[in-house]
Amino acid sequence: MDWGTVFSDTLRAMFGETAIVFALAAIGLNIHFGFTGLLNFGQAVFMAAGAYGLALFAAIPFTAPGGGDQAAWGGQPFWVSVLIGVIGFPVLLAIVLGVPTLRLRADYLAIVTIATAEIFRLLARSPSFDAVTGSSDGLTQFARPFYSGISCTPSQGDCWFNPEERYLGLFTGNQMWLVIVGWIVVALVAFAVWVLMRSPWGRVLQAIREDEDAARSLGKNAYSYKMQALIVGGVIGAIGGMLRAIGTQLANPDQFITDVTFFAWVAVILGGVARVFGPILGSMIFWAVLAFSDSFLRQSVKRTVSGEELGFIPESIMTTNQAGLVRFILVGAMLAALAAFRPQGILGDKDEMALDDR
Amino acid sequence: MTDSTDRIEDVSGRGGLPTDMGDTSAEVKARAKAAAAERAESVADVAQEPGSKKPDPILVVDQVSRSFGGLKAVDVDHLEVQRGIITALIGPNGAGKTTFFNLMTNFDTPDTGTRQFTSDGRSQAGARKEYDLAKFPAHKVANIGMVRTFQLTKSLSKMTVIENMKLGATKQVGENFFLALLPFIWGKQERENEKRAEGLLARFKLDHMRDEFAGTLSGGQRKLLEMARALMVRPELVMLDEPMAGVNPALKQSLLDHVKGLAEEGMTVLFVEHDMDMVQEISDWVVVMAEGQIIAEGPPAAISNNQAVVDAYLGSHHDSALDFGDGAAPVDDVEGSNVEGSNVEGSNVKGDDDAMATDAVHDVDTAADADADEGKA
Ligand SMILES: Nc1ncnc2c1ncn2[C@@H]1O[C@H](COP(=O)(O)OP(=O)(O)OP(=O)(O)O)[C@@H](O)[C@H]1O
Ligand SMILES: [Mg+2]
Repeated sequence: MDWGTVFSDTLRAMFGETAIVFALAAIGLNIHFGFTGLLNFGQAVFMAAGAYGLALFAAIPFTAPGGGDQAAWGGQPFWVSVLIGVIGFPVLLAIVLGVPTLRLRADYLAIVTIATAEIFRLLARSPSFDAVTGSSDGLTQFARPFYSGISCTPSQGDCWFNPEERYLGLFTGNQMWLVIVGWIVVALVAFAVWVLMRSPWGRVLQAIREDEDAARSLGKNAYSYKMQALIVGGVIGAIGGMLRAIGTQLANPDQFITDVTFFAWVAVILGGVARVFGPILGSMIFWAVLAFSDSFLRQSVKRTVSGEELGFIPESIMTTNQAGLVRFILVGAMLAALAAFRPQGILGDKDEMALDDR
Repeated sequence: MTDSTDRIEDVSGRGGLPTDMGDTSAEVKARAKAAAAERAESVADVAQEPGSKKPDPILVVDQVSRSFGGLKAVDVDHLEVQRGIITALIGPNGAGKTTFFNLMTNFDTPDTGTRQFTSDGRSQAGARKEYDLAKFPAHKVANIGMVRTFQLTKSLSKMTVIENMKLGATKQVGENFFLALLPFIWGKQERENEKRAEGLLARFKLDHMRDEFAGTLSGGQRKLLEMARALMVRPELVMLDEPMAGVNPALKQSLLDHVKGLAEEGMTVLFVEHDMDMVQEISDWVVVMAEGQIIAEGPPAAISNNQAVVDAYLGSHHDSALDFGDGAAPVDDVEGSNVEGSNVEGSNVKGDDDAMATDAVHDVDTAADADADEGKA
């Protein structure tokens, strides 16, 4: 057993791009669900809005080998595309989702968001829009401005990071830069949420979560505040999605499948609902556990590497390939245990949670 | 009407209940008596009939109706609520009182009719202004100076008591998303609101619960909190849906004093209450509703003598409490004869009370009332 690898795999997952992306998605969901009581089961589509907002406009147009334009909307300035991805798309999306549903009961938003996320994904995959979205291959060649001048090989110029070097024994130069920017963004967003939730604005959201009619009887426009919450949470999710696209240098439909939404939900519940740092902690722990069990299981399965017998779990129980799936079983068991023994999440307060039952 | 003011004296004298106003109780009593007399005076000349005109109505309701399927829950021809006094809205279960509240505050929309609210500019710091309530969605109703509480208490469980209170304040700068990010802009207003909230909490004896979650409060405490929170709005018209339900006798008494205090401060109070002792004690005017219609109006003493009210409310209320359907009560029923045989005040409502009383504390209440009656005789 190579514990060094297991731990570096775990640390990489805990602090890497994925944890950042899901921390942001979960912070957004926490504003929706934790603070306002909105059921958003389509956070993936807000993330996709961020990723595609950037990719659609910043990608460099080219002609495919078989002929035909690709990235037809591309070629716009990077920062304009970032703004479209972070503000334009998610705000528009929130309004489209919210206008018909936010006057109704909470479940309507849930249905509409889950459907919209799937519709978006299927449209993005559809060959009909291939020239614009790149269909199932998605879009590439849009993230370069993020790294240029900051991460490059010494032969290319004088940069802060070298893509060919390892930093902290975990990240390449590109990854290191993304991780630094990512955690700064997470910290700023978390601070803003912390301030907001202690402000009268945040108080109105929490009142709406507790009882919308009470809030309205006290002069608060519940519909408007729910819309604002949907927008703010969506924008934060979109920042996460955009970082994912920048990190992978790719925006494609399979990055935003329904699982993505539910991983973000797991992060919120694991960390503690309506806790500012809950989603961040939840995301880090979720990905750390997944990486740890993956790495651990893979190393435990009996296999032969260059003539040497390694591992102790016989192939009759699981193969290396199956190990990747078994980790989800373990994570599921962990969540079940959490629900049984600490339903309020890691940072949650049991007494507060029990108030529901009175 | 002098009867009812006397009664106020009797009540506040008994048991040395706290007055919370910081003045000597003699001064308070004198002031309360004067204020009550003034309020009674303002409706002294009003005709005692359904839909009567008031000299200075804050709320005018015309032809308002609301049906649920085949059931006409509210069908009010005309109703005016006098400004500055305490009006009680009574009537049997299912009479449409809560629905009427919902219609006034736009939590529900009437099928027909008009509703007009006339502000005297207290809460808006402006001139007298008339508002057509049809144009104001529920959240705007609060901002023009009308606030209501709910029959089923709506405390915000996972917020602390003080946060519940601060929510009630209107025109908060920090409720704007962008300004909320800049605490130094809303900090001062927040502290002012907090001070006012603490003052109200102390008045309602909830100051020791300041930092507890509202969900940990008892049912009665939640009623108090909801009422205190409504006052944070600085309303002109306070509409309370059964504010005393589930509140213990001693606290009920101080709640009554608070309600009277509101009127002394110039607020108009419209409240729904089944406890006729309470109605007798604090209201200046009583409106009786049955099957959606206003069937009687008048000062409390006259109302409890009104045969139509006795038949529709006290009798049928008892019946419906026992689930006998809503037929009129038989006249020779024990309950009914009790009502008829009794004097105007107090005792005629015992039947109603007993029908609802399930807890031991209630005995204390009725015993205390008996004392009060004796003291008078
Ligand atoms: N949303 C609704 N849908 C259908 N019927 C309703 C609705 N709201 C009220 N009702 C009916 O309207 C009638 C009046 O109800 P309301 O709650 O106004 O009575 P109330 O006078 O407040 O009674 P109580 O003294 O018991 O509180 C009842 O018969 C009730 O069943
Ligand atoms: Mg009612």
